[in-house]
Amino acid sequence: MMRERAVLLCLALLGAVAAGGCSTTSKETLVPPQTVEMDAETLRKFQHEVEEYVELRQSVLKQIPPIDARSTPAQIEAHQKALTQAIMSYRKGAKRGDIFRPDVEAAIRRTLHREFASAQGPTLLKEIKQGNPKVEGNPIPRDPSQEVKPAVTIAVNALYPDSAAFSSVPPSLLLKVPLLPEQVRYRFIGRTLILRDTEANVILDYIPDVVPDPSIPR
Amino acid sequence: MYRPAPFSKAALRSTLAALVLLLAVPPASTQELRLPVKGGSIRFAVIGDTGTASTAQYDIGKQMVAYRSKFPFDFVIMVGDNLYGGSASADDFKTKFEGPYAQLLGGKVKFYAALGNHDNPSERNYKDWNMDGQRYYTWRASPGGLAKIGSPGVRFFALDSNYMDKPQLDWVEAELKKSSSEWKIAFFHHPLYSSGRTHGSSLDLRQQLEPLFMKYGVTLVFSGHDHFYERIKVQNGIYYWVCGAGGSLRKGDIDRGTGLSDVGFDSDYSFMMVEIDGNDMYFQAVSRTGQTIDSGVVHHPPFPEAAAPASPLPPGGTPVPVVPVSPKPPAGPTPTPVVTAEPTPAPTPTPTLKPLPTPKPTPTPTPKPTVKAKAKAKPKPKAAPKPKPTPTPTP
Repeated sequence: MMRERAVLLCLALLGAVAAGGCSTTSKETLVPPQTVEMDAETLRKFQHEVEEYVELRQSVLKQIPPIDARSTPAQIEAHQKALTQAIMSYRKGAKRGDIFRPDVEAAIRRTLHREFASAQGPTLLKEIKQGNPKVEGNPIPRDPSQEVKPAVTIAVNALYPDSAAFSSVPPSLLLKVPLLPEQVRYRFIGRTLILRDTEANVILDYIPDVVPDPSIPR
Repeated sequence: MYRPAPFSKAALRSTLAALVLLLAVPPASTQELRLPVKGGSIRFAVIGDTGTASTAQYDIGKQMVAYRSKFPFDFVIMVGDNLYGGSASADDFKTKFEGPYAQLLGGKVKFYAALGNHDNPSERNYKDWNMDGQRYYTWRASPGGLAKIGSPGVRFFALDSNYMDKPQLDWVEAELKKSSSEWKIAFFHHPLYSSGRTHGSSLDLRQQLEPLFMKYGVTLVFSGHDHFYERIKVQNGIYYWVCGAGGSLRKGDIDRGTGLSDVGFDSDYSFMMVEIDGNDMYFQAVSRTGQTIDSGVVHHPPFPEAAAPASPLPPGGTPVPVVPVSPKPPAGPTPTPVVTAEPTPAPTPTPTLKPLPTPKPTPTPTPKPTVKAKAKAKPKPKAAPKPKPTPTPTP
């Protein structure tokens, strides 16, 4: 019994030394850590919902025309259209809060509120305006110095218009919210935070009125 | 009695359009090359915010073709907003990319794209943008597909500034850290420094990226997003360009009061050409009418010893043999390159600007609107600018 305890203690000490070593290594990086203020259970639930969506997406990909890094425009078009239609069809009954569940939404709201209220807030708000489809349009071909804003509907399972720009999501904000897989992205439309499929252009869920800037249209 | 048929409105419009086109593409004499075109150098062009399918985009494409006959660049880097209005239709690729640059594509010029905030991420799979299906990637360039012995390593880092999450930041750091290329060039859409009234500097992005660039020796950075040409005063030893007027333009958008601008041009469309030969990086920015709006050379101090390429090459990349580059530098951080304004008798540690010598003694016709560009474009042999201290970045 004593010997077992000693072994466990040694392992614990080794672990502590290893952890110390790791923390020394991590100090060598200039990239800040991902620091998400969300209780473990809430975070786990959110990650689970996102993983479930990614699994659905993976199954959809097996049923549509494939794509690779040497694709032609026609192949890209066919793939994207098929992916969009399939995702919208599979998630026909999806509703707000399916992924951003109330406790997740509350945690994200708290985080964004804190960041926007910080000294860095004005910088973040300025960057969120960039590319925000409620603020920025597309150059018109006959006169590229003029721009036109496409209409964007914010709804679960709605199509994010292909002609709409993407808002900047400041890197320091991305370090404070749960990390997403490559297939899914946070974006802002007006003052709303949305979750968007990277390629299918489908809005998966959203949290309204998270950006405290009245100069940005809703 | 014979009466000549009056011009129909349509015919008149066509004639006027033809006249406008003739005026838009100037004779070859205005296309004055200020790059040395040295054997074995790495040559490329930079375009940004192009994908509008506008007449202006096609005009820039024509100028690139015209200049390529004198300056045979091998590839083009695209700093984003490559397809405005999305890529929902295959026609978008045709009218906004394959059409304007048809002659370059036909001439086997390669394009390497970064994604802008108007680009759908699925565009990373488009074969002619050589992104290897990645939203951020790196490759090592070599002159004409073959590296000469002793040639400097030039590594490009294409980043996705739309979504700079932790995995990408970690990747940037890891790739920069393991690269021993002498020239490390980053390009992405959102500018870390810009005098644009519409957008301006991306401060939050700068906070994350610039420390990495400084620590790991990135020397040149190309961005777009703001629709004009701007060469930024050297910031923390790094040279930044905004090259976002390849197909879009915001006239008068440069805020001259930012103190960031060395040269700015916001009255017409533009693109850039770059040549890297050993320790020298030559650049020339050209307007839609073929006139030179900026040119110069960045001198890099002696290189550290070269090592192996850091990452697998994307399709089309050419492996470069491992070659030592002499002289060996002193130990320490990567040296900062220097832009010189005049031939100086001795190397100077502080940056100054040097316009490239022009082949003709007569001054180059320079576009009127930008006083600074005009001033910089005219070499004045006796007015050697004094070395300038590195400006403090705008907070």
